[in-house]
Order: sequence, then structure tokens, then C-alpha cells
Amino acid sequence: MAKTLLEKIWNGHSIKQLGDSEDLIYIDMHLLHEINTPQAFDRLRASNLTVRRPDLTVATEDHNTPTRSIAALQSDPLRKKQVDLLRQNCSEFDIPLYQLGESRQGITHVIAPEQGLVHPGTTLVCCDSHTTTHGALAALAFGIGTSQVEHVLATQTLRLQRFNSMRITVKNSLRANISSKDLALFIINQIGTGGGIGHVIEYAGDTIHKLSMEARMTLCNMSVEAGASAGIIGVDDVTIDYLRSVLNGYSNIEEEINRWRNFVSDADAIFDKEIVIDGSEVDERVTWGTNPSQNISFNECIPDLSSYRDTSEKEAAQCALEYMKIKPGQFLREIRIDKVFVGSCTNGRIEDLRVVAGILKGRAVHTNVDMVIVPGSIKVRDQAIREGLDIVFKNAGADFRYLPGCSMCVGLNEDSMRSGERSVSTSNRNFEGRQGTGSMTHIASPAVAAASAIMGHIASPSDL
Amino acid sequence: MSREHIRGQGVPLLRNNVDTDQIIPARFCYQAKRVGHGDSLFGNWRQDPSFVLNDSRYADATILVAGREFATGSSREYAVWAIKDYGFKVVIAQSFGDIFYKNAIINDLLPLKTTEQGIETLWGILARSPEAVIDIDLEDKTITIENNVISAIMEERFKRKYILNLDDISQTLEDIESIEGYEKSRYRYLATTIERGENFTSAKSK
Ligand code: SF4
Repeated sequence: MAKTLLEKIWNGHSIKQLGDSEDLIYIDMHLLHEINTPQAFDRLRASNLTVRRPDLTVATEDHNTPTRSIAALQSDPLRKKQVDLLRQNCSEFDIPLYQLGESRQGITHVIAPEQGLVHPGTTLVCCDSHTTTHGALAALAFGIGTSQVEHVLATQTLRLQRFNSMRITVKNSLRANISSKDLALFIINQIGTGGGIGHVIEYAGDTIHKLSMEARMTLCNMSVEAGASAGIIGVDDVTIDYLRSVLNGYSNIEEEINRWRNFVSDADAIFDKEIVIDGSEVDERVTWGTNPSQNISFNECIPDLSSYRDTSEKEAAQCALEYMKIKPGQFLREIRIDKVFVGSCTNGRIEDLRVVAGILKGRAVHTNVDMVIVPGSIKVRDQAIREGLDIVFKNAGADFRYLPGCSMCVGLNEDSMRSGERSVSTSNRNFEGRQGTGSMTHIASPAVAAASAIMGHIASPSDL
Repeated sequence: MSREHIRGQGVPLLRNNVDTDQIIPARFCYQAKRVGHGDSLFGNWRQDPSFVLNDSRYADATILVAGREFATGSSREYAVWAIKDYGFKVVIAQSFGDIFYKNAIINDLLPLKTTEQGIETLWGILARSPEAVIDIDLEDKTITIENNVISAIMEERFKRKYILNLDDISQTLEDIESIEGYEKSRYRYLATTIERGENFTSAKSK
């Protein structure tokens, strides 16, 4: 019978059916970071258990780490303690750890694909909701809570209920200069922040298969903002080429490729839900509110409350307008900004930095704007330096940070924003206070972020 | 009281889309323990004196009544810990974020779904009568408040899991032979993070 990609991976990892439509699912790769994990290790110790497969586990330091100097970690005892706990736990249980500043360190969702840890047809989990990123490589990847982290550490499995499947087919090409971030925001605007709850979204259609691997990661990353459990894209030549480059020197690759090709949905597979999106309708989009679905294009104005038919959405919009200190009828271009953040697991990869450098080249960041660019990994940083992007950033007056991490995406390190400050940010969440208490976030693509940095207000590259 | 029957006063949290960043802002998630997070619950909103949790009439409540899409967003289990620590035993909402829902059951916090109308009824009554008692019957899947009987929604398997309060890890470890069997037949050339011979595929290069 025809199977979806999700079913193929699920069936290949189901060790046992547990009843109550739950399966015991094997986990091929488990990523850890310094937040959300110490409690899991504590319980392991208390229950006298050990880590079953340290060789399928890897940890990195990313969420709260400084971006200017390693020494700065010493300056905050609370943050240092979190990092130290991770270091102790990894050393006690023999788990490989990439420490701040080491060649393989970076944001979990940036480093795992670039180091070849994510293969098509595998399962991958991490104590972080944006684990959905890795679905770009045809892996079933999703975020878990601390208790599930403990479960995976102890058993290398999870007790899971089958996910529902949803296919989003994007027909017609994206217009020139429209990024997968715009597409992601468009989709979330269409289906809502709850549209994907309980589902794994498979992105399909020629438009998707034309996207680069990095653009796909951005799209899968944002799946969780539509409430989805995971996002996934079937294997094609782009996937294979990417894996060839990251697994450079790996002897088995030709055999693998034939196996990997299998990890696509069969032509007549049936999905629980189907959505079709017209790619030609997607334009540059920026959030105006406090959840990612509250986003508009440059041609639209901030919606009037009377335009909402759904009362709860109307209330949410009202709260958002108040919090964001903006008014219905305003256009994006009228909104002045203080900060621009380029980075995060959504848009902190080399392609993103290239787009930003392309726009900043020969131009200057507006005098009222602080622009911070944080590479997603050491590898991304080094590549940016090799390509001279750091010089472009510096000449434009942007602050390119030396150490990778989540930084301003979550505001847990010294890069958090002050109350009343407003940013355009390439990250994924514009929740109240996400980048610092009282701060206001507008989510956008790297190109829009760069243009906004130059103009001092939310702007499209076409305004330059 | 059995685990099927729960009684208590409720707090109406009159908002939809309350994400985990609001339930416990990231900067409060630094303590490496599962307990002691009650003070951080709704850490930012609590600074506003008019926020409902600061209303002393609701001080004894053990049931939080939220709206739609409660606790979407990050996977932080702190959200569950903070709600429990504060003293809540149940959260009623129209829908929940996936990860939160699972985290809640594992941590013995009852996440109970009901209809939009059910939420409206609860909110309406709790807003005018903070002392109203909510009666939850998991067997019948009903929520009763002032003679209104509202249907609660909970899948059987989650209900059973909550009522039996079983420990997942010990259950899974009973199947350890199946796991070992799976590992023996598992495809050999998958990525590993520790170098083991020449077919190791991960980070060793560069
Ligand atoms: S970059 Fe932001 S969204 Fe991504 S893992 Fe870090 S904190 Fe989470």
C-alpha cells in the first residue's frame, strides 16, 4: 500500500505496538543543550540509570552563551552554572559535547545537519521545539520535554502516538527575491498558529524542491509556529548533494544514496489533511503582532479590529496592538526600529549571511539602529570570514559576533533587549518579551532585516 | 478523593494563545530543579497588580481555566512545573500545545480540553463568582459548575495514563529485550557521535 514519508519512517522505527495507539519508537539521534536538561540527568542518577547510547547523543552550548568572548561566561554565575552542569553531566555519562568556541559548536539545529548527523529516514529529537528544522533532510525530527529527554537517555526510545499527516503543496513558483521565510510566514498566516497541531507537515510540490537545503531548514523550522509536531520534505537531488558535501569522505555514500531515495511519500499516499498554497501569491511578510501568524505584507496595513470575525483572534489582536504600540491602518514602513538581529536556528546559516551582506555592501546601517549578526555555528562564522562577509558587515557598521549561539532570539545572554526597544529579527518568535521584557519583535526574512537596518524603519530591499 | 474525581475553585485566564514564554519567561528557567518555579509562573504578567493571579479572591484556586491554544511554543517543561508548583492540579483549555500536553500528563498535571462554549461558560461564572466550585468527573468526562454540566474532552489513552499515573521509563525498560533486538537489526551505517571504526559518518571530517 502506498505510504507517506512519515509512515515509512514510523514503521521503520516502531519497535513494538504498546496499545492505546502508542508505539515504542527508536530514536537515532538525540541532541542536548544546557537548558531543559539538568533535571533529566538528576532523575537518571536518582533512578540509578545510565545513558543507553552516548554514541547517538551529542550536546552543545548555545542558548545562554555569550557571543563576544568565551571569558564573558564567567561574568554571570547563573548562566555559568547551567553550562557547568551540562559539562559535568556529559563528562559523567560520556556524551560528546561541543563547548563554546570549539570548532563544532553552535546552535543545535545548525550544527547537526552541517556535521552530517542527520540522515534521511531517521528519527531525531531534542529538548527544543525547533527540532523540526531537521525535517528538511527527510528525517522525522521533533521537540520533546525534559521528561522525554530522560526517557530517551535511558532507553533510546520514546512512547509515541502516531502523528497525523498533513501535506502542504506549494504550486506555482515563488516570485524573485521571495524567501522561504516569507513562505513560512505566509503559511502560518493562512493556517494559523494552531493549524498544524497534532500533525507532521510534509511540504511538497516543485516550488519546495527548487529551494536550497538551507531554505528548507528555515521552512521546516517554522513548522512548529503553525503548531505542527514536525515539518518534513522528501529526498531529492538537493538533499543528496547536501549530504554528499557534509559527509565528504564517507566511504559508503553511493550505496546510501540509493537507500535515501526511498524516503519520499509514494505518489498515491493518502494524507489526513491536504492544503494547497499558491506560491505566486507570497510576498515579503513581516509580523506586526505577538504571535507569528499576525503578519502582513508591505502592501497591507495593520488590520482593523473590526476585520476579525473570530472573537478570540480579535482579542489576541487587541492585546498585540497594545503590546506592540502600533495602530490599525499603519503600514510596516511607518514603524521605526532600534535593533536588527540576524541569526538563530531559523536564519543563522551561511546563505542567510550572504543575503544580508549582499544588501549591506556599500551601504551603512542607520544611525539609530544597532545591528547584531550572530552566526549559527563556528563553521558558519569561519565560512563568513573566508568569504569576507565580516568585512562587509563591519564596513556597514553592523556588529558581527565572534561566537555562535541563540543570542537575541531568546534574550538569555547579554544581548537581550531593553523594555520599549523594537527590533526586526530573523528569528522565529515574536512572543511578548521574547527578546527581553517589554521588548517588541518584528519577525522577517534576512533580506527585510538588512533593508530595515539601513532605512531605520521596517523596509523592503526594494526601498533601497 | 480518587484520581477520577477532582474538585476545586478555578481562575479564569481570559486569554487565548498563551504561549510558554508567557507561562514562564525564559529568563526564569535557570534553576536546575523540577520544583521551586511557582513564583515564576506568568512572571511578566504578575508584575501587573490587576493580573488575575494577583486577585486575592482566586488565591485558593487549583484549576486554571485558559482559552484556546494554551501553552504553544517552546518545549520547556518549566511551564508545567511552574503551573504545578503554584498549586494548580488541572488546566482546562479549548486546545493545548502538543508538547505541553504530553509534558503535563507525565508530570501529573491534568490537561483537560473542552469546547469554546464550555470555556465561555466557565469564564463567565468564575469571573462573577470566584468561589464557585468546579467538579471534574474523568469517568464521565464532565465538568460541572453551578448546575452547568460541560463535557470534557480527553482521549481514553491519556485518561488512562493520567489515572494510573504510571512511570513511562520503568514500563519501557520492561521491553528492554525488544529494544536490544531492534538495535541488533538496525541499519549499520547511521550517524554516530563517537568515532567507531571506519564507517563512522559524523563530525570526524573537518
Ligand atoms: S535560536 Fe532561538 S529558536 Fe532556535 S534553538 Fe535557539 S532559542 Fe530556540
